Amino acid sequence: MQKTTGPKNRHAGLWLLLAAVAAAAVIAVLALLPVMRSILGSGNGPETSAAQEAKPAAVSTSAAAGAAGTAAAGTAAPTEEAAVSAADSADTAQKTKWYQELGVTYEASSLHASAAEDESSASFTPAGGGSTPRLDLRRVSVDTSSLTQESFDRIAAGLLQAYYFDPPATQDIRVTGSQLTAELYAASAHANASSDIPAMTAEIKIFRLEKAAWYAVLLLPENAAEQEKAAPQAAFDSLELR
Amino acid sequence: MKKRYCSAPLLAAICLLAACAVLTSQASAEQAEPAYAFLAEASLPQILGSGTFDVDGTPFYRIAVPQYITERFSQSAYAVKPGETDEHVGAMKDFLFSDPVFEPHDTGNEFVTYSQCRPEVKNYFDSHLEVLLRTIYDFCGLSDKQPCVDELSWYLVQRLADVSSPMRNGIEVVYKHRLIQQGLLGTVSRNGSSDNLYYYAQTDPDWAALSFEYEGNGATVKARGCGCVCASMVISTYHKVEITPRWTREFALDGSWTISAGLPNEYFPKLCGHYRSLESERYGTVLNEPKIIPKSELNMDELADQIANKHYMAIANVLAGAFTKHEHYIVLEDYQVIGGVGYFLVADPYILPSRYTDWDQLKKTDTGNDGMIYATPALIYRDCRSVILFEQDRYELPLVCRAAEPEKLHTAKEN
Repeated sequence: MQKTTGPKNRHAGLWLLLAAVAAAAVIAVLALLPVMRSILGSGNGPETSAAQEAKPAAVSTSAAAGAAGTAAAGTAAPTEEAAVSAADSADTAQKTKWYQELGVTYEASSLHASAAEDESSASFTPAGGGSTPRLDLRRVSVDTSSLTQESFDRIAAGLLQAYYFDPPATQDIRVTGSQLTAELYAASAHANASSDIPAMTAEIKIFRLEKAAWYAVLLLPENAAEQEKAAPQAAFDSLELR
Repeated sequence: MKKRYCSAPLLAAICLLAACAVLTSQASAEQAEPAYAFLAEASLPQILGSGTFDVDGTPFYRIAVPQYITERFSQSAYAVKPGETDEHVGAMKDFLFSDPVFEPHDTGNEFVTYSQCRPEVKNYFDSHLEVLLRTIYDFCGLSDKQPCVDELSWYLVQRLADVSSPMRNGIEVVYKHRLIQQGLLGTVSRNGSSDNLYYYAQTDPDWAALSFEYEGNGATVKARGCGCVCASMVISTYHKVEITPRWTREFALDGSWTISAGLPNEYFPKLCGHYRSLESERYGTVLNEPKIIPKSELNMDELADQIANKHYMAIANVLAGAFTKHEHYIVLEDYQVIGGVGYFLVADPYILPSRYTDWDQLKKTDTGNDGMIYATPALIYRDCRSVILFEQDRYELPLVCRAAEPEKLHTAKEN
């Protein structure tokens, strides 16, 4: 058989060269993507992943805003205002407690607080009994400075999964409204109902410290009554760093 | 030729897509790794779903495994299946057999036995390890996972050291319960198959040459050790752990028995008294002293019924006849009717079938173990001097959950 050396062969070579160049370009873009995200993530403004759904209500940034009871700049949800108003009008029912760097104001008659001796963790459950709705605060010695928004979103899903004995798969958890600044990550994670467990929403805040972090999870069964959710929601909204 | 040129763009496109897919999955895995480090430190209460699962009507507390762990190990660099041989299997057996946390007969657990770790079978994924892994998966809420020695199984096995002792005990009890249910409880033979009962041979090179002498007669376990080897088979069965002839030999040598021609019948009740509560704490098993029945009081129909239906065990002290030219002990493990003829299933500790006589009353088994032989009640009766009867159900194992609550896999100690 005669060896083929004609122009058609040269065309095939060109196609392969083109494919190689395109593949190299894709590799370069994908390799640079995390770096770019990291730079943007640790920058000034919050960034929302295009693939994520828009959060119905803006995530509270009151913790980053400073003093307790101060409504966050223009993004506070109505529940936050209600909590602040309650604190002002009936301050005997409100209690502010500091766990190392993290402060929480909560309604002592509605929530039962329990904490570790070293105050590195605390939980708030309904004073009347039951384990949900609830707020859990935990301090971890993990450096979050290099984490990207995608990593935080995976953490948000993982924190909701952690409440389950048989957790839903990660792809079945929707993380919405995720926002990342140098000081705070906030998002909501949602899981559908399964067998005897109602649909659950976890409101999550991760306060980024130097080589440490506080994470707060507000766990809300979607079938819980609004008045049941109000006290833990208000406590969650009141979270602030010293 | 034309066809080849036309496929060039297609080939280029496929290459491009493949490169994208590989890089995207790598990027996604890289994104997940820092999240895992954070989640390893996270600790939240398990409050959604059930913290127990049911084992034949008995609830057992579970071990909660974070989703990110199963996700992280969803792709494994190796995956060894039951029946295969691989050094990862040997490493897992070694870990479970030698780690002090799992050391049997103390406060530890017998997840892997001596017979599973002998050189010939150490790397073999035997049926016992398969049952153990399935049990661990069930405790960890991974019931859909098929038994496999892979990175996730390795991780779970290593983390077992961190769960509470009562939780490990629960895993061990359910594991042994399942071995009984599946007819697998016992030793693993040197070819890797399950003996389906505890079988030890005095001819086994692991202890055959050990001294079993009396007043300097130079005897060995192989020559005179049939009594202590039979005792090992029976005591192991009742306590559900491997108690090798090394143990029963030591008791025999320390007991000032006259063992010039082997052990007397009285050795067995004494030994059972000594090991009565050996595994009571772990399994709730108690070993009662057996009854010595002389030939004159022996009713073979009753004995067959006790062994077949009440699951008793017996050691027969036989004289010169079908099994030996001298005197010997054999274990009566079971009674079965085969082709209309009743046979005792005999576990003979001395493997040398060529020495048997009276083949019209003997029948080979299909166990693959030359130490096992069927013998008619008439033959046993003809040759026996006495029977040491253990009047207890050999399958009895209380199914009890000793853990006080569900537990979490301790993830903060990851490597």
